[in-house]
Amino acid sequence: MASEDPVQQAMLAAIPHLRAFAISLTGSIEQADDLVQTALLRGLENLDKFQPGTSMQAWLFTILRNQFHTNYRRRRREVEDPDGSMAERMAVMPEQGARLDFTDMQVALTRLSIEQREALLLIGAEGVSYEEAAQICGTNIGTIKSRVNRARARLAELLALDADDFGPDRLIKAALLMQTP
Amino acid sequence: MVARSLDSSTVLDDTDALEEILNVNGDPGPEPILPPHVVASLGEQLQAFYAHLMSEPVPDRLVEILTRLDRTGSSHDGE
Repeated sequence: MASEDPVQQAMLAAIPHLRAFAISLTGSIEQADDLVQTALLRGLENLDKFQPGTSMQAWLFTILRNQFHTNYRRRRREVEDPDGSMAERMAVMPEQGARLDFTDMQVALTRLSIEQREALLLIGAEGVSYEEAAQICGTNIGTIKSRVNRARARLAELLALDADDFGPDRLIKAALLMQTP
Repeated sequence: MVARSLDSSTVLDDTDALEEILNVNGDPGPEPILPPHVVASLGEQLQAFYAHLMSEPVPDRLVEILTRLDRTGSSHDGE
């Protein structure tokens, strides 16, 4: 793998990002690796459609994200998982007594709608711009901002961040109440 | 800039469509407002979680997909 091909280098560099995104989207390493594999293969097959000078990583994220939605729709027809119990069983297990409980985070993420989940992961974890997230998700910046806000509120609720560890309880509960339709 | 030549038809599903309509009307409903320290804490937890995933070793089979580039030398017969 000592290639100097810049396209190949860009794809290689994107893999850890694609994988982290896919694992946190699906809650399953196995599904995630299949997604990354498919995205890389489709990327290679469609390299002629890649615009030189644009972000290879963002392009691959778009492919992976679209593939995830296709798989999700297919799977949703086959299995219902309303309370996320399957996501819980498939959750990535924490290693060597991690200081933070990653299982909680993984399970909480899989209980967000997939639109909120992908928006929050792109903005809050991967750190792309709102514009880039909107392009990857095929929507507009306002929608991404709205999804991220709602995802944060829901995640705070799921992780019980409104409990004792944090400041004025009343204020937070009042804020969280605002998300109910 | 992202090339959107792939699967752009998968963009809208039910909840997307609903959100689009609400946004077009300028009334997306009440936005949840979290206190800044909760947002900051969430961000830290999420980034720690993500960094943990990023640090995992990449399976060989994923890297091997890209070695096909070396052999074919072009994008045409990469299967």
